Amino acid sequence: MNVAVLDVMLCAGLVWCAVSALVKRDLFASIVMFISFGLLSALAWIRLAAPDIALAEAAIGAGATGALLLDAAGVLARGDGSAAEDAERRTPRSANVLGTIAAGALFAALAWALLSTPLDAPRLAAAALTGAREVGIANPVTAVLLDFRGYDTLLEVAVLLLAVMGVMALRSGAPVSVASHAADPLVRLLVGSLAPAVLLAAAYLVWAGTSSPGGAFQSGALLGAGVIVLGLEGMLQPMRVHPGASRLLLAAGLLAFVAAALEPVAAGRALLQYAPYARKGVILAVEGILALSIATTVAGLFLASSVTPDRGKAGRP
Amino acid sequence: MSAPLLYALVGAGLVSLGAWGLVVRTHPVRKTVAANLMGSGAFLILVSAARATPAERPDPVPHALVLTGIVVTMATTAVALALAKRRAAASEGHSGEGASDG
Amino acid sequence: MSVASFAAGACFAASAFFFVAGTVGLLRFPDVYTRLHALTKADNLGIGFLVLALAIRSSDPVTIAKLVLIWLAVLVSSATASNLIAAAAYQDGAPWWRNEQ
Repeated sequence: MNVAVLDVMLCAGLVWCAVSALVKRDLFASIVMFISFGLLSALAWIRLAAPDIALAEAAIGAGATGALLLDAAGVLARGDGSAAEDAERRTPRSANVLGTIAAGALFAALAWALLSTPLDAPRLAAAALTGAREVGIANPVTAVLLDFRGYDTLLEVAVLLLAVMGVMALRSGAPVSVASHAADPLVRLLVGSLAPAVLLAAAYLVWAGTSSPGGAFQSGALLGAGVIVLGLEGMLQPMRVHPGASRLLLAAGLLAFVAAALEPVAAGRALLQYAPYARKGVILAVEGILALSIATTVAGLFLASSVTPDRGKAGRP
Repeated sequence: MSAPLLYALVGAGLVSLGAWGLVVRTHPVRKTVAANLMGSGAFLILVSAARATPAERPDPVPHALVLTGIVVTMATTAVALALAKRRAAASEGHSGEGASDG
Repeated sequence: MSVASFAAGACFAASAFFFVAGTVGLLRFPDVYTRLHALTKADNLGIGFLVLALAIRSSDPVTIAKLVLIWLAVLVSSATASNLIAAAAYQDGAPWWRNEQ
C-alpha cells in the first residue's frame, strides 16, 4: 500500500482540523472543526481498510460527540453570562512554553518509537481469523468482539452502563423538556422521513454484521445518533416518557452478555466458552440485544443530561 | 514511506497536539476536545499497525479494540461534560448570581 | 477514447469546476446569505456531476442506484441545513450586504 495524494491530503486535513479545534478563539468554531475532524477520520478509516470503524466514527465521532460538545458549550456559556470564548482564561506564558516543549518531546518520542519498530510486528491476527472461521462468522471483527476477545467487550459494555449512570446521577434537576420549542417544520419533515431509513439501516447492520462490515456497536451508534436527532426535535423522548423501559434497555445488553458468559460456567466449562453447537446462535442473540442497548446508551448519554433551550431564545442574552 | 506509517505518524502528532491542548487550554469543553484528539491519535496508530500486515486482510483485533474504544470515548466524554456542567451550575448557585432562565 | 469515457471525463471536470466555484464563493462573498447561496448551489451541482461521472463509468445498476441515493440524500440534507443556517443567521440579525455603488 503506497502513499497516494489522497492520503497526504487527508492527513494534512486531519492535522489542520485538530490544530484549529484547539487554537480557534471562538469555541463554537472550534467544535465545528472537531466535527469536521470526525468526518475526515471516517474517510481515514476507509483508507486504512477499516469500514467497521468508519461506520461507528461517522455516527459517533462526527455526530453524537459533536452534539454533546455543542450542548455543553451552550450551557457553560449561559452559566457565565458571557460569550464562550471569554471563559477561556489566559494561560501563564511559562505554562504555555513548558506545555509546548513537553508536547514536542512527546511527539519526538512517539515518532522515534514508530520509526524504529516495524509496524508489521507479529500479532494475533492468525489466531483471531482461525477462531472466526471456526465459529462460522465471516466478519472477523464481529468474531473478535464477541468470541475471541469477548471478555474485553463484556467489560466495555459494563463501562458504558456505568457512564450513563454517572451522567444521569450528575444532571441537576429533571431534564428540561425539549419538546416545548416550536420545531422547524422543515427539520421535522426531514427527521421524520429519515427516521425509518435509520431504523432500517441499523437493523441491517446487525443482520449483516456476521458476514460483512456491521455489528452491534456500529448499529447501536447509528440508531443512537438517530434517536438523539429525534430527541432534539422533541419527537421522541425515551428518558422522559418511558423512564422504566429506557433503564431496562440500558441494562439489557450487559445482562444478556453476562448471562451468555455465565451459562458455560453452569455447564462446567470456562467463562464465555459458549457451547460449540450454539456458538453462532448465542453470538447473534447477544449482538441483537447489545445493539438496542448501545443505541439506548448513546442516546441516553446525550438526552439524559442535555438542557436544550427553547430555540426562540437560543443565542439571545 | 508506506501509507500506514504516514497515518501512524499523524496519530503520534494528534496524541501530542491533544496533550498540548489538555495542558495549555483552560476551557473545560476545549480540554475535552483535546482528550478526544489524543484518543483519535491512539486509534489511528492502532489501525495503521493493523493495516501494515503483509496479509490480504488487516488484523481484526485492533479494529475491534478501536470500534469499542470509539463508543467508550463518547461515554467518557459525556461524563466529563456532565461533570463540567454540574460544576458550573454549582458555582453559579454558590455565588448567588447568574441569570437562571432555564 | 470511447464516448462514455469522454463523457465521464467531461462530467468530472464540470464537477471540479462547480466545487472550486462554490469554495471561491464561500471564501469571497460578503455575507452569510450569499456565501450559503454559493455553497449550496455549487456543491449540489458538483455532487450531481460527480455522481453522473461515476454512474457513466459504472456498469452495475445497483451501484448506480446507490450513487443516485447518495446524491438525493446530499440534496435533501444540504437544502435543509442551509435553510436552518440562513434562518438562524436572520434571527440573530446577521448583517445584510448591500451594493454601495
